[in-house]
Amino acid sequence: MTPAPAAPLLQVNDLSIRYGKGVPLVEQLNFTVRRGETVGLVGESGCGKSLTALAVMGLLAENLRTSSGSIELEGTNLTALGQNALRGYRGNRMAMIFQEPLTALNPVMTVGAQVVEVLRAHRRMGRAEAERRAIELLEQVRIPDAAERFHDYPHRLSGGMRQRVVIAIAIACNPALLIADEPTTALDVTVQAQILQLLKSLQRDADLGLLLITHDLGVVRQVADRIVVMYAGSVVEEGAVDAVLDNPQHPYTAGLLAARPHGSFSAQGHRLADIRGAVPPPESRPGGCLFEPRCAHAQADCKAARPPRSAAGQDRSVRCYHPVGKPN
Amino acid sequence: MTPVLQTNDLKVHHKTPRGMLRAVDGVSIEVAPGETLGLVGESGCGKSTLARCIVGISRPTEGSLALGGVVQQGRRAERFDRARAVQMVFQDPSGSLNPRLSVGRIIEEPLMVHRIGSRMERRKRVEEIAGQVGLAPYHLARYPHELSGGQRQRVSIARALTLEPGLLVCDEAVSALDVSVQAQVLNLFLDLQQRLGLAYLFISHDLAVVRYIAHRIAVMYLGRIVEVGPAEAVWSRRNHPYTRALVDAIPDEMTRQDQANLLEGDVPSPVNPPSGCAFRTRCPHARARCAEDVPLLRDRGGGLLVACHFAEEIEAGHEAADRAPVALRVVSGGT
Repeated sequence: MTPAPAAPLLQVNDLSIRYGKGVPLVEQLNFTVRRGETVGLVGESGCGKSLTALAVMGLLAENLRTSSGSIELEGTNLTALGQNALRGYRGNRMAMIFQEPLTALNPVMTVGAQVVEVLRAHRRMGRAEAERRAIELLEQVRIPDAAERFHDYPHRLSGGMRQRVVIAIAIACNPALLIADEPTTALDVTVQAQILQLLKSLQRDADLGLLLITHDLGVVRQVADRIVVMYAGSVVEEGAVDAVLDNPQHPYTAGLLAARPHGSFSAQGHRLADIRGAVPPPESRPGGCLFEPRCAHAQADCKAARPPRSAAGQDRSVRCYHPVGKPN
Repeated sequence: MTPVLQTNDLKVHHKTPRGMLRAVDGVSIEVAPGETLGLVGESGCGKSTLARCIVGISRPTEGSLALGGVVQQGRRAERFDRARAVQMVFQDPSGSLNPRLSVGRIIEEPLMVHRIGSRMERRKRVEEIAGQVGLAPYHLARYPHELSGGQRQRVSIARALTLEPGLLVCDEAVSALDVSVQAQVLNLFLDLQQRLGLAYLFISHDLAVVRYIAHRIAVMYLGRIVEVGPAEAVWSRRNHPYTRALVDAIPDEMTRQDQANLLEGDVPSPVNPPSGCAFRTRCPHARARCAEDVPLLRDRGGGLLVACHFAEEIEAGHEAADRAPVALRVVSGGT
């Protein structure tokens, strides 16, 4: 069961996700998450980042399927497993945190009971032992007066506290991989900072692999080790966070960075660099480079075929015929 | 010049079973013609209630509100004049547009309600406004669900502009948009301001957005303004510890250092706010005096007003602290 040290915790190979037999929503996706590493999966709405997370968890809606490729967790191909076998991995080896804690929690169960439920289902713990462990977990995610909050219903807690409960549930069975899908987007900035700090310290303590899905490049810079940038269902660029954000090579990554509000218009008089147009829907994606219709650097050859991954297998890669920025 | 918006000690209180909820508790703000006032604060601080009060969706409990120099009495007969003075753009364009009307009809509706122009004149005006916000003529026949999020927000803006108000209240108007589209809409707001001389009350939880677009910034906490002044002064001097915390909490693209001064806890309930300074329960500088005296807005020079007893000390402290990390960064950069 224990993989060789070099093998990544999670390896996604050439993954495509389709709606029925239709066009792929996510195509030819490759990325890895290593033990103890945080990977930021970044992109705008509709780029397929949440679908990818659901595919890894085996939680795709019934009308969606992984049509090719593999998802390997600790050496096991999850796409080949049935729902029963998957259940042994979900919760135990991998767990997920969602954006909106109020919908992730059951409103008619106390938060304590929801943590206990996980421990009893997966770890076959007795009631008393599970309750003790649940309170420990609530303390571990720094909920003050955990023993009292144990008996509260979700609506009694603030947004930040609710998200802590969701995190406690996710880490209850010591998973190796934690997927966090926009975990702080619904929270206020000061609370976001607290939750990010918590995730980071939990990860360090347990040597977790963390796949952090977000639209916020600032969050990625602060928390992640590596970054995977998605656009229209494809990975366009990946690499170490500082390398990619300091020297983006894909025009889309560069465009995202430039579009973030910075400085003050009234003081400096600069306009934000926007990216013209909008993301194409899956059924009308171009045949060539996916970003070509919106790209300021597009040339004739960009229309012909999808650009290949440069330096495939290396840590840093980009899918672009005419990368911007400095070469590596 | 007469300000397009002036509130004086405005209060909005709601009775609840647990006591009086002070959503807005004595806010005095002013917006000059052609100016953008940014309003920041966390959820529950009362910024949306204030916005709704200004456009007339909810009524103030106390205090006065003047639009373009005209004091609003809250009479029904005022509604039409008020609609011409101020309009609102909401956060979620899909929730604020009627899904059963075409885009052209949505933009035309305010003109119909106000009985302005003939049908042909209205059509022409709609096309003109659509052009101003970057919508093509063929968009006018479409329905909201056929448009992207950014285009829908353009429709909301167009509808708000039809009556040529002097002031737009934008409540989280770019928060639901993706970064690349957010930049398009922010640029549109700036263009419209330059062309039409519009004033904005720009409400957002995102201090970076507000700093970019606003001339002045007001920071709100538990129903009160705790700091207000020119955008750059608020951003860089950060006299109020809450402003400082908001800036520190922005995930910083420049540094990966763990931030030491995170705020503890959550915003207290506006039903039973703490005595004295409402921020003292989360404030790293809180002392005995903060529990007793409510700090009032004080002039700190350069147009900056701050409601904190220890603003001088805090500003001096920042200057020292801001010098230190620079040295730290040089050291860590060398390794």
